[in-house]
Amino acid sequence: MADGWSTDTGEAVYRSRDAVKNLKVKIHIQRFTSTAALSQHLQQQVLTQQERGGIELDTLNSQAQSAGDDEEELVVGWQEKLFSQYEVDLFQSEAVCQTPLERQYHTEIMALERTRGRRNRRIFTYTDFDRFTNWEGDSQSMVTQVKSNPTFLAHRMANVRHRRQDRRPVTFPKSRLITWEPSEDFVKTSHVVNTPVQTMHIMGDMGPLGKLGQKEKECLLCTIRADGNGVITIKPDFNKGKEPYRVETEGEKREVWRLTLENVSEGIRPEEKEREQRMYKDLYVRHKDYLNSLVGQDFEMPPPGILRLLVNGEIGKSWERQEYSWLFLTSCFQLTLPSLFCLDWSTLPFHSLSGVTQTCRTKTIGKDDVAFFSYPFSFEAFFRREDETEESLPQWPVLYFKVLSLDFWQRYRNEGYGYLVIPSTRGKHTITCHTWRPLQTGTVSELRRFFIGGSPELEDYSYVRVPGTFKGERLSRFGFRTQTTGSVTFNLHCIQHARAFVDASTLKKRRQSVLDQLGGFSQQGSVYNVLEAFQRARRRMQEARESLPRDLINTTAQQNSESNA
Amino acid sequence: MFNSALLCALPAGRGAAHIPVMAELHIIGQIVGASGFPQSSLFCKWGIHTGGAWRLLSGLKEGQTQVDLPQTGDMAYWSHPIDLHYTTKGLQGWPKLHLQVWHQDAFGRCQLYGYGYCHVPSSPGHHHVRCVTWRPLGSWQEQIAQTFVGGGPQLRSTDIIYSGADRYRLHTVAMGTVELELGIIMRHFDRYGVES
Repeated sequence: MADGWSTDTGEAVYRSRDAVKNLKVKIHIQRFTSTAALSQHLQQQVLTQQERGGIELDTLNSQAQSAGDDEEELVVGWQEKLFSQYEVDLFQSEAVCQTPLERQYHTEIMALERTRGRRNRRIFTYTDFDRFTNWEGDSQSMVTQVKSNPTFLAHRMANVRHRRQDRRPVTFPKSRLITWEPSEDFVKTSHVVNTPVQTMHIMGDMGPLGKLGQKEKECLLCTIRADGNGVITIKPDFNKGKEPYRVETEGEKREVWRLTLENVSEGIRPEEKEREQRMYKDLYVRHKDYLNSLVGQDFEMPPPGILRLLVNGEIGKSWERQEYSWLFLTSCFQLTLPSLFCLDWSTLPFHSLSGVTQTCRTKTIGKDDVAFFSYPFSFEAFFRREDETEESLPQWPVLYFKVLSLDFWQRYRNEGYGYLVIPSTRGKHTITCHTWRPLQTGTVSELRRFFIGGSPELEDYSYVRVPGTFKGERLSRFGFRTQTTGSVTFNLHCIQHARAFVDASTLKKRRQSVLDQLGGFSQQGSVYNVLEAFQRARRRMQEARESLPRDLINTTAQQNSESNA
Repeated sequence: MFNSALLCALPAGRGAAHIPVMAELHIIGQIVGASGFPQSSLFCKWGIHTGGAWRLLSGLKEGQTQVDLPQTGDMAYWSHPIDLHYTTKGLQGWPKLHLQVWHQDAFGRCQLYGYGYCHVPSSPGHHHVRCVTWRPLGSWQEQIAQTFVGGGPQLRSTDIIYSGADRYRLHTVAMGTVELELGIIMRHFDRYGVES
């Protein structure tokens, strides 16, 4: 029947950590003839009819089918050598045996003859040691070509394929990393993939009954490869309840055989599996304890209702269109916090809110002159929402900075002012801020700037953005003259830390904005206290329960189930 | 296949409830290479500095790359792996990566070409970081000597690379850029309310 076959004979890859010697494959071959198909079909029909209570007919006896020779089923273990009729005939006489392997086969065959004989007839195997395994890749070509030689790479790969699996792991030598004169063997192993692989072929002798032992009638049924990393490749895959595979023999009388493969390796016993899982669980618990012992168990948390903002940043580089050559740039910056933010000086005495970078001589990239500062700064600020009903957005800290230049003659000039609002979103930010410098009308100040240095400076940094003394609605800077100078790049990493985020995630609420979470902190504070107490009590109860002996819990569970039943 | 043992995740029930978990940070990436320096035969010494609350669980926290001399182009490629696992009980002292780029010339002499640093990113994901470098500058006599013989002033203590305290005393010149690719994985930080 054409639709009773499985045509997917691709190879399948499995992974396993267990030893490959536990692998057992059950292989079943059966000759498929037209009469067999017909009688099977009839039998199925009759069976269904019998179920419906129809005609009762005596079916064709299936005796003719299983003549004993047209079917064979065998369980094969990993690298288990089963001899074919051809090999038995060949290795009967000792004179033929040349290699030690062949002599070993001879002794085994003699021993088998003396005892009950082979347990296989048609199905036999070629293990990793046989010659078939070695040259089968070489001789068979993958494309339809009249005469094909194996490629250079195929030749190399064939030589290294059949290495034993117990190779030592590769260790890197501390000295002499380079081999200046590689040997031939070294070249072979380094230029190709040399994962050691063990191969096994399960073959079938498809000759006619009584005339087994012809080498031309051998047919490759299944190939299993296993490498040292626990990767097992089997081609074709196990049937797993699908239709059997179709094997066709060559020759003048083409026959069709049905092939079924099944994995019958013993599984792990449930007690052992449970023991293994308990061991893993133990290991993880111990690892956690070890981690805790390293750093301690408390993670420092801000007080409830407070958002902690932690910013790690650096002043990267500054670009300038230089008016004068040979300039050095330095910059100084200052962080200003609006009123709702406050600093906790007691815990962070070393965090400074202002700084001066080094003086850096510029270099020219393209048309611009660049100075690299790479100056680190980091600060921490705490935000507390005082008034819950206030609707306005809080102001975030602002960083004001000023770029100065120092030239070869030690003249000091002001190159520009700029500001940067610390971003309110968390994560990494790369921000480029442009700078400007104030100008005075008239040529006197420019002449002074050119010859002796010195330039107008701002008294109050906050004028750069919004002056601190500004109280109206519209800011007007009319009359203030400036000139664009350049830009400065900052890299900022912002982290926000608050207890409110923990509660939100444990309660699985969808997070609104940070401010809404922090709003109502007094109410949340009391709720939080209750939650804390509950968690503590629950933890104590769990610890007490853990310390009880296990059978005590089991007997109580049993009593409960009995009382329920 | 043969009932292969699966790594069972620790059940999130009783086992995890009464053992508090620590926040862990994985930094997995590479120092790709450097460009923009006057000469191209470069190597890099790198290290990571953290605060007191951080503990290194696995990985090497400092190292030195090989010397790379590019045949074409300006960029020297190192592809030096960085694989670190930290655990912490506080957010302060977030790790900082500091670098020193050196030049090895045809005679085998080594010369400092730049100091640079960058903060390890604090948000999870893949980050492409460009770290700019600077080199201390001596007097003009020393600069002339440097063009002929090499050498030049170096920092006495390398702490200044990643701290800003006394930087204003330095006189430096801008050098090139080092590129890094860092993948950051943060674990259990959200249990403590850290948003990043």
